[in-house]
Amino acid sequence: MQRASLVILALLAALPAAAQERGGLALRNPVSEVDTIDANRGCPLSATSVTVGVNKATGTGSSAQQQLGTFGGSGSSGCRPLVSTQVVAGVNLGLGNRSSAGQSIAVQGQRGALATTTFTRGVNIGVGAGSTANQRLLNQTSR
Amino acid sequence: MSRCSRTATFAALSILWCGVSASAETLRCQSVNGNLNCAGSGGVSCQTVDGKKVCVSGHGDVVQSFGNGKSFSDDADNDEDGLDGAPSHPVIHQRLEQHGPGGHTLLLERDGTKLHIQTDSLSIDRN
Repeated sequence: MQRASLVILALLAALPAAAQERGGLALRNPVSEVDTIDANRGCPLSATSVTVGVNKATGTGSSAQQQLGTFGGSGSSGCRPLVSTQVVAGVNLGLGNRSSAGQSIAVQGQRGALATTTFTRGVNIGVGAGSTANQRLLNQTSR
Repeated sequence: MSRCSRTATFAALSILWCGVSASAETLRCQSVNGNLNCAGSGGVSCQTVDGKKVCVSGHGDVVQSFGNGKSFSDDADNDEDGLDGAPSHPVIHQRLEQHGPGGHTLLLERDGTKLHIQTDSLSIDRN
């Protein structure tokens, strides 16, 4: 009984450790990537940007306009994060009859030296009769 | 008010309430790469995600305009100067319009050249 408990305990400890080992960045060329990490010394390890907008025009004949922007600073020259993550999400709703809903989200950030992940999702709905819904999402990374 | 008329009024109000609550708008939706775009009756919804535009009309017309979407790569070796979201080759603008459920008019526009097809005529317009 005691042995079985020990085995279960060992498994419980081993599984998260194994999961941690499997996570992270997949090394394609370990030598060059280690060089990249070494060359990026003094720069941020990661940069994460999350921009979320919710815009709705509820009344009859109403208008709601939303404009959001996130611009990641370039920091010191030639210095960029090792890993960059950018998330853009927008919800734009024209709920009232003949309503007008407009949403524009623009995000500009730095590309990571090792990896860049961008994620963009939008929901744009003109529910009301004769309503207009316009949504513009832009998720960009630059060097 | 007699009990019978009160019951009739209550029944009429219930039917009216049920009728109102049961009525629903038609919503036309389109999902492109996980992004949802819907339009109610008589409405128009346009969504542009990273340069790729999709429009939905509540009338049932198809109004679509395609830009040049971008592709992302996590490979740092593929780094290029400038904006990664900007298209690396010329943008092709293409638009397709179809009016009426029977397809009375079809307009196809690409890079300023229009192909206009109607039920009784065919015309090519160059801008």
